[in-house]
Amino acid sequence: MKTPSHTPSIDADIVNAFATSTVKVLRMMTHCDAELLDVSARRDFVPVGDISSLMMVLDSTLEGMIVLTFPQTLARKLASSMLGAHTQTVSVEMRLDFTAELVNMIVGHAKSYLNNKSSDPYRMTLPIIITGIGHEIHGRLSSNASLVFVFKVHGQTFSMQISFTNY
Amino acid sequence: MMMTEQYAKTRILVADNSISSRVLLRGLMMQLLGIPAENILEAVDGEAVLAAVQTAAQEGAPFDALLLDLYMPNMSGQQVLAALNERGQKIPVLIVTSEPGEATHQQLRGAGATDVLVKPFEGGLLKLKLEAVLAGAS
Repeated sequence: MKTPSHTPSIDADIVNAFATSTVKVLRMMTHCDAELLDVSARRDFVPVGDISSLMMVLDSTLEGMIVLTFPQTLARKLASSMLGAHTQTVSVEMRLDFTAELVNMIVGHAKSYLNNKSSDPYRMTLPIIITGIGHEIHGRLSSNASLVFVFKVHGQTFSMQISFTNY
Repeated sequence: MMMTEQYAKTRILVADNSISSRVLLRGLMMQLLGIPAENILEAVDGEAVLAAVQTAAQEGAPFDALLLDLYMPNMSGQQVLAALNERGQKIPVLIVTSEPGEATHQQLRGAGATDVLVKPFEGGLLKLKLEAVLAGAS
């Protein structure tokens, strides 16, 4: 696992859960090997991309927000990797839905690790998709730092931002 | 028996609001079990599931299995299971979900689900679980 490149402190269990989950989900569903380039705790990060998928996790004591942000060309490649063998055309609707499914699976898989730490299992909301070339996503759930992961796959990078109310 | 013949008359209903999940499940069932495309129907929410199950039964061509997502708009997978039970509509159900909690899985089995497949999954595991579901139904 990468050493965080920024202070402040990082919960290693959360980092490991989401990093492992992301790599595993992409490998199983798209047969692509993603590489974790960097993970850091930052207060100044603004995701910029073309397609983002957002999901909330909740328990009795905290709320968490997970945002995946992709360049359009990478989202298209990954969607084609998963669906291309089963359909002649990967439509825009399928591509957007695919990114929602990705965050759903990544959070669900990470949840299996995180639930081991809590007697109050996390609940997940339905994913939300945000589109727009070069869009930015502003806002965190608290003034605390967000965890920012940068992955590389197919020679391109995508980001995952995680913020918690009490992190 | 050849794989393509074994499930040539098998009828499956895939219930998921995610189009990419439906495309993936449909493709894998066609590829790995040889289920004909025309025998795989799709529903995008719980109400559509209940309507499709009822129609299929009335037409004398009930589904051999239902692949059911847990989190859908309007009606959850649990609510669909409860509604099927209330209506006395017996159909083997394979839950396909990102929800990893074993406690939830036990509740689902208690509510009538035959088995649970957790996403992400390998195609081979879908084949294994669906074959077991279909074998139990026959």
